[in-house]
Amino acid sequence: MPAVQRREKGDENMCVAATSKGYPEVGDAAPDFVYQDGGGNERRLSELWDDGPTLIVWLRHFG
Amino acid sequence: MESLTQLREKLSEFEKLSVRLGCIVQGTAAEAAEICGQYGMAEKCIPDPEKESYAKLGLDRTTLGAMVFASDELKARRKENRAAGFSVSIKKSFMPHCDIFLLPGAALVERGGKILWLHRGAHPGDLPSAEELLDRVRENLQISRHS
Repeated sequence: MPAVQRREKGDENMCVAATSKGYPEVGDAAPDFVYQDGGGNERRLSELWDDGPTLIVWLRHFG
Repeated sequence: MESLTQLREKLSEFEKLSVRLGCIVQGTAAEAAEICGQYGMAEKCIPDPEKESYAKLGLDRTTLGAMVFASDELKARRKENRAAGFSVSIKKSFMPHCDIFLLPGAALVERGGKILWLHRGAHPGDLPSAEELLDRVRENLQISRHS
């Protein structure tokens, strides 16, 4: 199996299977982490989805 | 920053779907406030200078060779991304906390924290366009709400 699988059009749920073992997949709990906001307060990523569905985008550098 | 620009343009559509948006960036809170603020996205940016969340999601790293000697697939994706308004900012790639090899990703998370849809980039340009992200949100929320 190749280390990185191609993402085919129409197969949007496919992930990089060979490199994602042990990492969350569809149906699993999303990874949470603590960060500092602009006011210096500690926040949790999970605060976003506490109240409703959330799209999280991990950008390369600043996008 | 093209990604942020494009996502900002679609903010109202995400709001119509009652979906929150969080954009994780590789920088400190101050850097995120300054840079994302220039694009009107400061409130949506989540600073992760240690790239902790990238590691937890299992986002892979590419290689210099893969970026320089791009595969046909990456070239095609870059072309698609450019057409959709995405591109790579060389200047922003070399900021102190930025790891140019770390690949992008996206996840739709339902209320409570379950992942409904997940995408891990297979190469540096492999982040769906904002329009495609909206499509994935519509599809998956519909499935979730009917199941």
